[in-house]
Amino acid sequence: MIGRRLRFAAYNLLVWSVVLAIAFPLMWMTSTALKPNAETFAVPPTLLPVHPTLEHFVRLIRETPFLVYMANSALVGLMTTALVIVVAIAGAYGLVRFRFPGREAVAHLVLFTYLLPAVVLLLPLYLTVSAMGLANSLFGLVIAYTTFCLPFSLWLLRSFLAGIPIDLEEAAMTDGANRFRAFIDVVLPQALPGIISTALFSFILSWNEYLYALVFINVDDRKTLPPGVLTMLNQNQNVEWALLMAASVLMTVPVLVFFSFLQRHLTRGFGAGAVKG
Amino acid sequence: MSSVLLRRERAIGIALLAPTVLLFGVLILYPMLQSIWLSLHRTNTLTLRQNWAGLDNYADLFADPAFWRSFLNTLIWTGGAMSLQLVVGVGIALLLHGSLVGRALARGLVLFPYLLPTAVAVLVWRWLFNDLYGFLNSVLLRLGIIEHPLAWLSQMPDAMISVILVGTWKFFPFVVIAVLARLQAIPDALYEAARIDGASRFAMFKDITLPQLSGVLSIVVLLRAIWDFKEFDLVYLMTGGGPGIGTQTLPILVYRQAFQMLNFGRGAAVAATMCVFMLLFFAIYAWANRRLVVSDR
Amino acid sequence: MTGIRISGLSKVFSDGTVGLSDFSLDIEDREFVTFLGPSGCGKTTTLRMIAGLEHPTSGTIHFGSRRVDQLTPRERNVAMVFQSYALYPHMTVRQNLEYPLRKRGIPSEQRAAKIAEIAGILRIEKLLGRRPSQLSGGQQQRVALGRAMVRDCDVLLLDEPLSNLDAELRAHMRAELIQLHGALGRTMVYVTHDQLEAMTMSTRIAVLNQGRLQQVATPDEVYRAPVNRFVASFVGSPAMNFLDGHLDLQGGIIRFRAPALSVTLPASRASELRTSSTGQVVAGIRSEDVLLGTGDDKASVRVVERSGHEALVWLDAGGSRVVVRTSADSPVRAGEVIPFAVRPNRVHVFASDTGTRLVGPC
Repeated sequence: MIGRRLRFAAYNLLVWSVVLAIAFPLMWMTSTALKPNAETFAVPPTLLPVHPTLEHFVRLIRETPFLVYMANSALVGLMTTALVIVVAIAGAYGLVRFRFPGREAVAHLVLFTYLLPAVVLLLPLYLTVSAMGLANSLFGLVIAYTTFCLPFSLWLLRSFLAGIPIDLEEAAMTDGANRFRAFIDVVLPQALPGIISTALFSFILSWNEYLYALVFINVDDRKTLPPGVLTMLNQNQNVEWALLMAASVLMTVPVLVFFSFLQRHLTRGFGAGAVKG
Repeated sequence: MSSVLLRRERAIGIALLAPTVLLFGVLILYPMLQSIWLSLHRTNTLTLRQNWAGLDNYADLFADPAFWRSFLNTLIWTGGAMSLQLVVGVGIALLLHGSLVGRALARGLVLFPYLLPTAVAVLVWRWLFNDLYGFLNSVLLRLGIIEHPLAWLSQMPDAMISVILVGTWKFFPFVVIAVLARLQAIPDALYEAARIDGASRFAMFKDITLPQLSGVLSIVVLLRAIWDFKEFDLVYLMTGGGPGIGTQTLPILVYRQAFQMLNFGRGAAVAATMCVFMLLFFAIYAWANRRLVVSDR
Repeated sequence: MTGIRISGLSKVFSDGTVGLSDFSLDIEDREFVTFLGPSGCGKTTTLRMIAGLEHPTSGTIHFGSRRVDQLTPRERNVAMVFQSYALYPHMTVRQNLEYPLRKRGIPSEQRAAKIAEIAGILRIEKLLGRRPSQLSGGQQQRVALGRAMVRDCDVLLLDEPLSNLDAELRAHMRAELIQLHGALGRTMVYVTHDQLEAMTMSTRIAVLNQGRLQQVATPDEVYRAPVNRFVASFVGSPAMNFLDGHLDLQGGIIRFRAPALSVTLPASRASELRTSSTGQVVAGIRSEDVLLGTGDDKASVRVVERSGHEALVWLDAGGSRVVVRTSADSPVRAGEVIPFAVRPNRVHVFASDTGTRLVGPC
């Protein structure tokens, strides 16, 4: 009796200690972002801010190009995701529902791109994009980002669509819908949570990317967040760690959005109960 | 004959895939070929004129000790990071598989590092590693484990170890997700039957859990090995490849050759060599795991 | 008007398996035809080809004078009830029922009227605002039926619609379907593996096995005069009893001999014999045509199952198992050895190798 409850408590304690240890760097990041500099550079440093302050966030927004970087990152992310999602939905639906010569070849092609290092494509893409006059342009980044967002989205959407029973489309077609309308009326609503997850994931991939952004863009007001914020690190002799931590906190926002979406939408059993197993 | 309907289905299928294939061709396949082309030429960066160089770039490369050092570094980084990611990932997946209070929250927290921008991860850890004000040094000093603050990133072998540590923290959640999903698919009935048969906890792990996980683990090892091998951002941002070329990996070498030394041919040659090596690895791995079929269903 | 004519229909799947082989059938307007058979026999494949969800490898299908086998489902104007119901989960019941009408461009007042009518017939008026996931199995089934009925198409296809329901609900729905067929006056093609459904609801039954049509006839005929051993064993519950033995044809007298049973078949049926079989055959006899307590042959009683209104007696007759249906107050007990006999004019004789019927009851 007691043994069981003790084991339960010990287990929870152990696991939560491990989880908190993993999450510690992020807590430290947030803590530093909210500490006044005096506390940050105190030796030994305090765990939690004694006098929390938002001054670093204010400085970040007022005195650095942070918001510009953020706008650029958001734009690139949105454009890439919009393009990729449309192409990937069509491609995934084609792979899942239709038979045609070369189908297996395309599936293997997608798999193959997972083996590809970005450094292989980096130079040729840079030369091509420059030749097109798109160096230092966000469109150039969108082109580059498609190379990894598309295969990934295709792979994800494929498994989402494959999980939708084909009965529903067959019923719609029997009811008088053509192929396209059956897709819009029946498949799309079912696939929506999957599509939104994929879109968020693709946006995050784009938001997080560093190397292409570093190479393709040299003009400060076109930079995206990762290279932009990192140059702030290397700029001065005295590294403004508090500012950097504040920047880090703000850069984490899309991930938080993603998580809250996951919690709300993927737990609802949308399709359950309408189709018998 | 049903050829009318069949032909229509084929046409629609091809039409749906056409944009994807087009983008793949233009943005991935063609640049790949360009890369090979570049590696076989010497490019004058000012005029962008290209002169045939045959395999000279490769010959220069293989004669350069810096290349081999980078190769070795890449193997050390990949081997170390991947192994730790696996061990930590499996361990934490097992821990999270029980009846935990606040399970959803715990899983979310564990997943976080994987979804962060590498830039953020690096900033946070470099701050933690900071020699003067970093948290790690202060804790270790206070516990008396070290006498002087450590320069985590500016001396070897500490730098490589630090990079592997951060690489583990950043990427192990991928292993957790994959393993956890598989763990949850193992029917409880198997464990219950084993318990009735009198198996110990360890025996159940060895005889039920591990065999069930073997498929997932094969795939995870392959993917992590490939992704760690080609990782640029994390290593470069942590140490820049330093101290010296102590942590310089092949991807960093490509970047340096192509964009700092402006030696396009050599950069492309390193990239091509990387690809060949990875393909070789993939082929050997796939052959060794013949029963493993990557199903497209 | 709209009969269905199927000629030489076959289906070979992409992995080489033969789903259906040379299937031909004429379905009259307003018939209720059931495709009956075990799983994998081709019944669902045939139905889906009628619907247009599968493409035939060869053969044709006509609705009336219109050739349809190259048309999409939409163009064929059929209605179908799926085994899984396939209700649109993100739509309410009303929207599910409305969907076929909207796809045909029916204006909204007519839609509302039709839905009200169908909902009334199927007694689902109270469910119109709910989502499929909020309905019970039986309710979902009726909504699926409603969605198929809401259009005035001439052909209604049903793919094992009752298989997910419990026994009591199934019995209830069988009766409802029979009534519906009478009321709607549409051609109905029904697929099932349950011989009771086929027997009670159909005007004709088409029995299939391994992609081939075995027999097409009224339920009565399929029961009394099965054309081969497979049909005989599939239709009827409890299943027909089979005994291996010999057939002797001597001097115009046919005698069937098995280790435990010997019976002389009526002389009038000597003419039915298509081969001079003095060889191995299988005799089939239904459980209600075996008499206990009389006769020259003996068997031991293994089990007696009493179900209140009748008793099923399981006999061991020389190594063969024979099930006998008898009245509930029969004094027979397990372990006894009792005499038994069969009604000679109800014995079927099948060839051992092909299973074709050689001699049948009159």
